[in-house]
Amino acid sequence: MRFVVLAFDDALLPAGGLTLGSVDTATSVQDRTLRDGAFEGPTSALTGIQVLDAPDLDVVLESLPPTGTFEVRPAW
Amino acid sequence: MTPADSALADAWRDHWSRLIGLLIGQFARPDLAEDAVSDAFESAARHWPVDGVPTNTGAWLLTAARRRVLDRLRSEAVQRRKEPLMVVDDEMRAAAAAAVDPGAHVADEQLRLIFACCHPAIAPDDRVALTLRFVVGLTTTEIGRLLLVQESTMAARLTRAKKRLASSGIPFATPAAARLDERLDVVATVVYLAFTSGYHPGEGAVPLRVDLGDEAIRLLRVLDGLLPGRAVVRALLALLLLQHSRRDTRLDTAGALVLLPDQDRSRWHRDEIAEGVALLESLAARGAGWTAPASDAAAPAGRSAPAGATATADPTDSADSSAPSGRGADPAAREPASPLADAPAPGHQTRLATEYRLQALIAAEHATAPTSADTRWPVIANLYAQLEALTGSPVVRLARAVAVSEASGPEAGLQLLEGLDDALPRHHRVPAVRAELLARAGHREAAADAYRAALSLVTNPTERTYLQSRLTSLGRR
Repeated sequence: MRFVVLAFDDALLPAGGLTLGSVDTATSVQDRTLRDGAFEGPTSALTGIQVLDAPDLDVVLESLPPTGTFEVRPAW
Repeated sequence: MTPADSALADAWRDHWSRLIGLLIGQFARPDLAEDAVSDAFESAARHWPVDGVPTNTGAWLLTAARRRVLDRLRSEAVQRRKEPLMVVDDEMRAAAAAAVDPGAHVADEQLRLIFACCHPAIAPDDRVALTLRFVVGLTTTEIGRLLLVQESTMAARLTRAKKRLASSGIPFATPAAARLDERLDVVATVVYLAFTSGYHPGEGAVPLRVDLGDEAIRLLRVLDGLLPGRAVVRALLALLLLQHSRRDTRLDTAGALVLLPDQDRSRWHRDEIAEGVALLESLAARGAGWTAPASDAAAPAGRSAPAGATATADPTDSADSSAPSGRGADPAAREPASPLADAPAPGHQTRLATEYRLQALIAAEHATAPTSADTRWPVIANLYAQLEALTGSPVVRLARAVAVSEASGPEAGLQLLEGLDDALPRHHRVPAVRAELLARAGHREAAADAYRAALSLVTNPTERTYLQSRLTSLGRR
């Protein structure tokens, strides 16, 4: 099986973990419409994660399907 | 002004955004670039009066600013920066690193800088603030005053916006061709907001080191030069030129607003009006048969929207809204429509481009009317009808109602006001315009009621005084 561990409040992950950029660096996308900051949906459940390498934010945004809610953050 | 002072002012105007662009290109750190360029100018202010003005001010400033960035990077190096940097491609990095004379690079960095500041992933308000800071070079204090935000709040917002610019993956680049039109629309909106932020009736003049109108127009010229033939850029440039041409007549010597019909048309900037009209002609299909009224050099020029058009044809003239001139042209004596407006524009045009173009056409009608009484109201009413069909905006409908009343009488205008109170609640201009039209139609009591309704909603003291005087004069008639 494969698992995803989400870390909160700067909790340290075991070796190999990814650090996400802060909320200030997040970009929310809802049906192609952009908003700055993290997604703040009242009832949205996290349903998937993708890690990808791209030269910049625009390339990531172009790769997203036209509908649906997403949040993009840099990670390192 | 000493030679050093004027050299500093020139350098600031000519080099600020280029230097920021070059430094971001080389170091991918917008925050450091901004501080370093500020420091370089401070250093110039100390050195130039003593040591003399350098031959190449841009190169002097670039060298000084680069040194600052390197100092900061060295002191930061202890604690290695982990967050991602702004995305700058290698070609840009090499070009920026090689630049000795920032004048040699002019525009590319400026263009990248504009597109980065106006990236759709940045909040709309922050795009304006970032553009005023990085591209125009205003201080946080100045930006706060212009955008009516407390300085401390503005500083915090800018800090956050700069962080976003630096580390959310926004590219320092001109967008891909497929996205260029929609990204240019965002840029155009920001430039227009920056332009209008310079005009806040009743807020008092904000002392600035630059004329924001000139700056917005200069930016559009840069855009038009680098991305020639883009309809949204040309249409907005035309609109701003036509609006800005009237700047010297907007206020009287006491600083009070002067309404459009009362402005001294001989003091409008004729060259800017001519350029605006020429741009509109370039946007229209050839051979449409429309002759620009401004081609008559003898005609005094004018401009601006009629009543209630604050959000549409002329943000600089909100106080005009409650004062329709009452001297409409005879509709039968004029062409009812501007063929220039009906002509299909060449190439692809975004909705925003069409909107700006219609607004500019309205401004051009005002700008080229020899006198206020000669205004071609039927043409303007027709343009507003097109603008309303395009935008569905109740504010446009309000402006249209005024134009229609000028063209076809107050009763026709009053009909268009129906339902607007619901669409624009708490908007004093709806009852103010209604009052004016009712008064003209001879319904004195209803007009007085409408003036009282407007007075209960108005907040601007200048407009309150005006409405009160109208109500008083109604009782005397």
